Amino acid sequence: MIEQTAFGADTQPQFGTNSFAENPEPRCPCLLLLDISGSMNGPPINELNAGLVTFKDCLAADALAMKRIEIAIVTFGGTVQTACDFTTIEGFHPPTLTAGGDTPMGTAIAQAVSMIRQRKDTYKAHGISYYRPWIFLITDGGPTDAWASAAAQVKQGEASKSFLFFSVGVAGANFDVLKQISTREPLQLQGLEFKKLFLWLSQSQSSVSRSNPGDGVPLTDPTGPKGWASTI
Amino acid sequence: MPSPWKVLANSVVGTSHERIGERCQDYATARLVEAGEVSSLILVCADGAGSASRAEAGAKLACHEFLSVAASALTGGLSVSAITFEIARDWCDRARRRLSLEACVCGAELRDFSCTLLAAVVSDRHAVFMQIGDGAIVYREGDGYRTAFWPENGEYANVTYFLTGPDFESRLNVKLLEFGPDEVALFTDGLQPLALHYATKTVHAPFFDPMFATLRREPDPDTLRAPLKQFLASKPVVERTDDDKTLILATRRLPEHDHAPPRQ
Repeated sequence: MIEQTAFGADTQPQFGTNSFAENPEPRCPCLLLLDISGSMNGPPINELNAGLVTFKDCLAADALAMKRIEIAIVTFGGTVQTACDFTTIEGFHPPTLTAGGDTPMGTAIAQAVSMIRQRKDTYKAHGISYYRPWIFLITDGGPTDAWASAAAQVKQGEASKSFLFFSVGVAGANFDVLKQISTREPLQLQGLEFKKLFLWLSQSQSSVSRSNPGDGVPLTDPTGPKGWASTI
Repeated sequence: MPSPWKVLANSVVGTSHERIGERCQDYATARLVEAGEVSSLILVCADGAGSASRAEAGAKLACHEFLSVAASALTGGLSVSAITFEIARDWCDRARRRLSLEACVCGAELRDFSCTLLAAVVSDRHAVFMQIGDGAIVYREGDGYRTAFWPENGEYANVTYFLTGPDFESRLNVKLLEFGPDEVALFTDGLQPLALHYATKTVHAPFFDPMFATLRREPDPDTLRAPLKQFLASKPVVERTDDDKTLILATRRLPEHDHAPPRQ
């Protein structure tokens, strides 16, 4: 119970965080674009799945992040699938992904860009403000479909500040292509440090979701001494 | 004749800035200007950008310079109804140039002093509101409250416009009211989630009703400064927003207006 004073805050009942009416907090959308093609089979996919659990656990420990961060997952392995549509952390149940098939990365990127666009429209329709979305691509290969148009969409989206696009290559990734897709320098995952990666991602998203107008958002360098990545 | 206005203002540092040991980067000030028979109340507040190294000084200097320029114009006989966009822009420009000068003096950049600016000038029969960036100005009209402007953010929640920006003139909003409201509030963006209803773009009246009612009843507004600060730092408020928070309340409405107890 909160005591009502002359300057008493009207307290808002806490229901689900997914509803815009119950949770009018600004949203911080983060779309994970995950390669689950055949080559990810074995330890890589297991570590990736464990990383997703870490991701949820870390974000769930931050009360503000719980209300503000929204996660979506698009997978590509044989087909492109929305493994999880945008949800606050409460409704995010880390999937257990299985690997198989080729790598339709171009189609997956196009779908991610389109989902980001639609999500912004939904926010606007509900009068919800939002932070700049992140698209976070993780792959251990290279596209087996056409990717030129996807690369153009990423460049255009970055130039117009529609979203931030990060790419991470696991050993075996085609970094030449990643460099042509991503405006930002692709990062190389050290070994199978998916847990460290998702720990960093959750901390970064928490920082973004806490930032106020005019604030800078300092991110720790993933290639630093305690990081999980190296530059190519 | 004593001023009919009661003004209450306070700021608190946000928990997000407190965590990293930063001081409050908001500033607020007010002055009643008498010119002949006419008295006008000037209210100003500013929110310094968290990423700017001298934001605290920027917000304070901008408020003082704006107040001093506006007060001397009004003392010189300018009536509130004659404040045009060009005059408002000139006052903002003076505040901005004051920051430029300060930047020169300490070998810094203008952007190091980045801050928003909100101002209200209220006479008996008119009011002019001016705003660059986010935060809001709320005034009473009849039984309800209205915002002078909806807060100006960029597309994203953590982006706004500043007095120090290169395009500040195009971001300046000016509005003239053809009546003198008897209650006005200015606040920085830290209070937006509590004071405004985003989906309908309206003012959240239950936020202001009890505060204005208390201020109307209190003969000495200064005694409310501590309770206001306490409220701004209280758990229910801090849970909704971790930014710096500043609130200025001004009323000349009489307590007799309160027929009913404030809404719970």
